[in-house]
Amino acid sequence: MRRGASLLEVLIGLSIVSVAVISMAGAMRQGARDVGSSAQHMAAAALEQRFVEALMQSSQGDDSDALLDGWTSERLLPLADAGHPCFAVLEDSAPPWGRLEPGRDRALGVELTETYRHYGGFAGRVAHAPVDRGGAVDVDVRLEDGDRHAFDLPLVLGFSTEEPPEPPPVPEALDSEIAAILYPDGSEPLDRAVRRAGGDLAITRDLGGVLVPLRAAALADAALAARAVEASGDLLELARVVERRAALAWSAGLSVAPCVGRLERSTGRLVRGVRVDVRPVVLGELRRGAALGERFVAHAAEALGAYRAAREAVGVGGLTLRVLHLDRRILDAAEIVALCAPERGHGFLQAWIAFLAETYRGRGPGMEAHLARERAWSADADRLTARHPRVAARLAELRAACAAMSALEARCTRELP
Amino acid sequence: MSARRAVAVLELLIAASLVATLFALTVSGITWSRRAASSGVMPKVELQYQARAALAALVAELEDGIEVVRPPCGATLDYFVVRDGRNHLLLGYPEQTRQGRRFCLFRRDTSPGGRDTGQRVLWSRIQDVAFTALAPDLLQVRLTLEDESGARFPVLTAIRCRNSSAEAIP
Repeated sequence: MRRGASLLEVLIGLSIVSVAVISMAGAMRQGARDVGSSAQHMAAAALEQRFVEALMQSSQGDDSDALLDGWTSERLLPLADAGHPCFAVLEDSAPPWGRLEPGRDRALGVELTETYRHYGGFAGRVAHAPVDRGGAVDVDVRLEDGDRHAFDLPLVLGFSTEEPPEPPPVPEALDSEIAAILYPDGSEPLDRAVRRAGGDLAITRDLGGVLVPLRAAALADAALAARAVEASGDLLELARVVERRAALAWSAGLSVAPCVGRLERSTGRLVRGVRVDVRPVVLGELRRGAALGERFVAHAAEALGAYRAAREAVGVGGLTLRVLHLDRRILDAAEIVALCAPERGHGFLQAWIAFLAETYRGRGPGMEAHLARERAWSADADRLTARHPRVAARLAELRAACAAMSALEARCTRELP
Repeated sequence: MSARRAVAVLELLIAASLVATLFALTVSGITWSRRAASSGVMPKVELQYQARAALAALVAELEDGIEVVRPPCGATLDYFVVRDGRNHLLLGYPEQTRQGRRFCLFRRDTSPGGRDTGQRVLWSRIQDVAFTALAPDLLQVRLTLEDESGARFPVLTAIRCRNSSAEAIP
């Protein structure tokens, strides 16, 4: 006879079903929580992207110490209601239109209902490792949402130090090139010609190490001067060509500095047995070499003038990328001129920074922050020198080389036949 | 006669209450799961997925650019125009349809004889769009995605035109 299920069996069966269903419900509940957490994670990633872009925008051309000083904080700052410098203003929502002005325009506030609900609970902090002046720094961007979930973004930021590149190593002047300048009529190798004349080969090579690069630079400069004449109708092209003339003077002066230094310290006679008509050539090259420092400053100032003229031709209308690049280039050139010749360039540099500060007010937070730092750095010549220590050191080196070339010219006047 | 004993009323009551409790738990679990699946979780997952995919597509399009032409620096508009290295213009704009607002992309070839690409719908339902140029090569994007059930997912980020250095003065 068939027996029905006992009450105990029904209870056991129902318990098993209940446990299974409740477990599934729990799993789904956890899934729902995970979806919420995933949404927060996506929001954090989007916010971090904005953080990083703003940080990079602000970092252009600046020293990392100063940049990060303005961004780092000990504690987490709320992103909502302009609580964090990175989110001081979000959108242009009030006149004057076309300028983002903290306090006047919209921050991440309650009026952005959905965005505020989703992102308003976040707080952010930027921290960095001890700053390495080599041009990169480890930065950690941390965001926490309203439920204290933390999202960390470690990154490495590179900084442009605006220092000019080291001049490329100049190949040692070939003996044949030196012989062509000092012993133009002979077919003998340099060492034999020097030995026959009773001269010192090392000193002769050092003199050649000065004369050969100076002559090459003079030829290149003549070609650039011709191009500058051709480019006179195109201000930007003219500025670029003149800038290259300045760079040429800079690198030529620095590249001959080691040989000039050795000649300055040597006590032996310079060269012997050179032809009388070589003397004006040698003296002419050295005279040009002694003027390289002044030529560098003159060309830099000329390039600055051409860039300014090109910028004035554009006017103060739309801030295009080209205008931004041009403004930055003028700022760089003005700093160099102010550094080399404060009496000529410092006034203009300050005026230019003031002009840019007004032009970019509310039109690029990164550029604004950059200009605020530039204004502090350009307050006086000492601070400007401290801002560009390598340029200042190289400039001193260039000036010393020019002075040494001037002394060498006097020595050649005495010692050359 | 059978030796089997009848169930006492108290036992029956206890058993009935246990069954009722377990049944109630089971039913509430199933109901919650169904509600979560139909009205909350799945649409959010779907919306997040769409947001990720669409944002990745927008980033890829914008990163290819050189310069943000519109909005001008420091301004906010509900559309953008970005120029790329081939002088193509990428337009992103909201469009009103019967179903609501959607967000579209359109690439215009400005070279002589160039051909425009057709309109491409990036998001089918959006609310509250705002693009702000933080720099000539940096665009802040804020918009809220929506689905048929009314679930919303706001996006706030910034995208840089990675080719902006192409305009640098050599």
